[in-house]
Amino acid sequence: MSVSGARANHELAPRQTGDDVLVSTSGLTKRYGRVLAVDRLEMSVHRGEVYGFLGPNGAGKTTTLKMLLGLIRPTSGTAVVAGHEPGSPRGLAQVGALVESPAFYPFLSGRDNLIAMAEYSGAPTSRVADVLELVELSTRAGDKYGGYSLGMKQRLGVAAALLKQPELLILDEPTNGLDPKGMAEMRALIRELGQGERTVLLSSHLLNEVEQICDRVGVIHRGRLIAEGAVSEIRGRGALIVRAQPEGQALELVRAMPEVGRAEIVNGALRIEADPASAAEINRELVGAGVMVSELRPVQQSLEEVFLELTSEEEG
Amino acid sequence: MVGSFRAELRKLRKRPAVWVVGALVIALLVAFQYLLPYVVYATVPRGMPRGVLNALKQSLLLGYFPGSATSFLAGLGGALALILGVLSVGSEYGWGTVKTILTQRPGRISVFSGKALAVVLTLIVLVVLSFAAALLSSIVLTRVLGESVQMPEGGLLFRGLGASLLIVLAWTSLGGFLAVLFRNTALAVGIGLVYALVVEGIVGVFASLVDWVRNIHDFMLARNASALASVLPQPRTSSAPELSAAHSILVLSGWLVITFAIAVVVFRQRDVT
Ligand SMILES: Nc1ncnc2c1ncn2[C@@H]1O[C@H](COP(=O)(O)OP(=O)(O)OP(=O)(O)O)[C@@H](O)[C@H]1O
Ligand SMILES: [Mg+2]
Repeated sequence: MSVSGARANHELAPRQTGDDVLVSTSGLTKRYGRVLAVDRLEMSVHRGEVYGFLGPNGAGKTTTLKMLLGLIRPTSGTAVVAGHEPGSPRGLAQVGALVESPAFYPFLSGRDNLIAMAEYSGAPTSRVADVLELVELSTRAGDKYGGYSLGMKQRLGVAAALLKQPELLILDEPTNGLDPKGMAEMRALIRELGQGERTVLLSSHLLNEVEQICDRVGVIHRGRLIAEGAVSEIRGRGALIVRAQPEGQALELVRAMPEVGRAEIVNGALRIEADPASAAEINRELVGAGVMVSELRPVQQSLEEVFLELTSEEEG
Repeated sequence: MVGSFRAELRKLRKRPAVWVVGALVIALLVAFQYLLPYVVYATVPRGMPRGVLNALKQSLLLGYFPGSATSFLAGLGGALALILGVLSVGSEYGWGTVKTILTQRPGRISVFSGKALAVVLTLIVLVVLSFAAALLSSIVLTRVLGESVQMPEGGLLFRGLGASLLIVLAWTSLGGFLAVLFRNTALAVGIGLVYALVVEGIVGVFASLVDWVRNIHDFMLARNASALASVLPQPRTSSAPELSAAHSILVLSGWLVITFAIAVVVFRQRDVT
């Protein structure tokens, strides 16, 4: 799914409206009976960025995106999308979306589905061939949508979202259900699409996906936006795993080091919060103090750990 | 709305289920209004009263075809129109395509009116084709029976077409209304058919016994549909229709307008979850 030559430039030049914040919400709340799905959400997506909307299952991502598209009404609070009220025709004209799973007519071919969507949206039907090629579905475009594989359906969903050459592309977990190759291709496509002026709002529950694709990220947890910023900021300082003997002495030593944050023993090894760049320095100090270091490596912080950190900070 | 209308037409045209329902309307009309009565007439059981036999024969003749077609569309045809209404709206929920089309561009009202217009056009085609099928069948049978081939007057034809269209519109609108209400196909079809085939029948039984039930029955959909059809000249043994054409037209229009209006409001207001 690479973007090639002239078409790439074409794709990378959406229409523009002017101001700098493309999506902003204020006190956005959705309550389903006793479930508070989205809770006083404040988020802002800037023009031209690829924004990762990160949260675990049930955090409220889809509910938020549906409110931004006018599919569901907020219980309270407001949102402005591309300068308009969510769901208004003038706003929607600049927004392409794939929410939850792709949904099309099973008895129509992929191409006919796109033609129908172009008719609804007022996009020229000549766009259909372009977007089909962009997602590499041209050869199967004449087949019935009902017979498509999950990956093909997902790609058709992205193609439909691109029909309007939208300024803002909203994609809700677009790599869901794809195999590793499909995921990699989809991510590459999104990166390409997000270059230049186009703004992409991408939801995901995968930290590394967001890290690969996004410029900025908002973290949603139980309906609340608990952090918003550059990916590196959200990540924190990172962490190191250190296997050393004697353990107790090593722990005391690292706790005394200024570059080390929290340190604890997890599964027979030290887990210390520190910039991975300071690994050599930490190693030197430990060895210098007579501690035997058998392993020292940076760890990828999992989403769960990031959440733990962010939520504990919030509560603390 | 023009865009929605075009897209809806494309969907209706390419959808196998629509063709199945359409073909069923034509096939059942020919079978139940012409083929079956002809077979009964041709192989007449001894002892059948002359009056009944005569009416049976008359109903097959060209002169009565607008009434025959309309009677069919008021009954079984109405049930099929209801299914068409449910399918055109309810399937969008089943496939989840409501959210896809509502995130395109037009507002909800525009999407819904585009759909309604496309369905109206489909119904016009269906009614005209039904009349054509009735016309052809009756010409053939008139010849077979050795009667003179005499077209009914044009005014009767247009009254028949108008009445039929109003009848199927009312049924289809009820189907669309139920589909929006239940956001679903199966339940809407089920409840619609139970109403059309069972509820009205039961109320009809009590209507002949109790006055106030009768008053309610006179405002029901199937009752007025068949009453309107029976206003057209029919070879009947029974007496004149008990409901006036004006009453039936008013009641059917009421069903059409009210079910459509509620469907629009609900479709516009409700969350697409
Ligand atoms: N239609 C609904 N009725 C009742 N509760 C709902 C409805 N839709 C969502 N919820 C609840 O709202 C919360 C947020 O759901 P949402 O689908 O927005 O999460 P999500 O972040 O998209 O999760 P996932 O990663 O699993 O897609 C959940 O607790 C869910 O059960
Ligand atoms: Mg979701």
